[in-house]
Amino acid sequence: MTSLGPAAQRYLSTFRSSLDGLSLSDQQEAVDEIGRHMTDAVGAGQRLDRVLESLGPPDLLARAYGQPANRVLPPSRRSVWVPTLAVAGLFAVGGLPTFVVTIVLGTVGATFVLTGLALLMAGLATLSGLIPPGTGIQDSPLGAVIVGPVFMIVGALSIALLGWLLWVATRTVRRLLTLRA
Amino acid sequence: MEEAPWGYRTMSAVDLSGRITQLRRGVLELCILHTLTPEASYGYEIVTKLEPYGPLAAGPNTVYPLLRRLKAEGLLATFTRASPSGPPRQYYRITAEGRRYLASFEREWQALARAVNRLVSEGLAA
Repeated sequence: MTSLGPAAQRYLSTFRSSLDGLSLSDQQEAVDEIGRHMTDAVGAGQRLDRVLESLGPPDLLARAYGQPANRVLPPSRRSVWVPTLAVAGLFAVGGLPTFVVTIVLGTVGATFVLTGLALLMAGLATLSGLIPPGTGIQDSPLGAVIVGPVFMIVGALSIALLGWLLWVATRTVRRLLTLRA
Repeated sequence: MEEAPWGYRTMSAVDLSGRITQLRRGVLELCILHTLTPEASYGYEIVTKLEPYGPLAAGPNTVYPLLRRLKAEGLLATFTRASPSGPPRQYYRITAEGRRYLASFEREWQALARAVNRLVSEGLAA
């Protein structure tokens, strides 16, 4: 920025020598940028001494280039590995129990609902005489009509419990997938 | 500096201006990324774009180091474009990662601002 005069040149020289923590290419980039800022500001009508004043002492400016970010909020960029490992860990730890619970509750639920429905229909059919004599539930058709709905309720509760467990598992996985690095 | 008998500084001795400066610098990251969302821009232009926003106006000695850090973190990228006056300018543009980060930052900032406002207004009402 020789066109800006010796004051700007001195500033940039001190600035460059204070950037010793940066690579040479980074130093050059920073010096070019600050020099370009001076050119733009003076071109916009500002006085050079005011521009240098706004930049502050060159050594302090150089020190600021090496400082870590000053954030009021933590960075929240996602890492691919964190949620992936979290989900893998979840499957490793909870996969088999989830499988067993799903099979047991699903089987119990479906079996009880279908058995209860069959008992109820058979009991009603026997009581109403819709089926030929000697078939259907002969011993206690009334008992079948009472026990059938109980079986169906137990089966429905089992299916409801399975649904709730799956909902909890899904929510847990979704939370793990939104984990932040 | 005033010292209370129990050893803590009294409120009048707390450096309010320094704390506001710290807070402003942190939020400035959000503002710079937001400024670059519609289009790429160069250093001097970014500084002047922030000027009308009063408390958010930051000097070049704050903005340039921050631009460099955002670039090093992959949230900004640079390219050079010829200028009708003087040497080519280095332009900054927000990256895809920067956009994701900005969206997340904005959500967290708004939640934080709402919570602080609610707390302060409840404190005033009490």
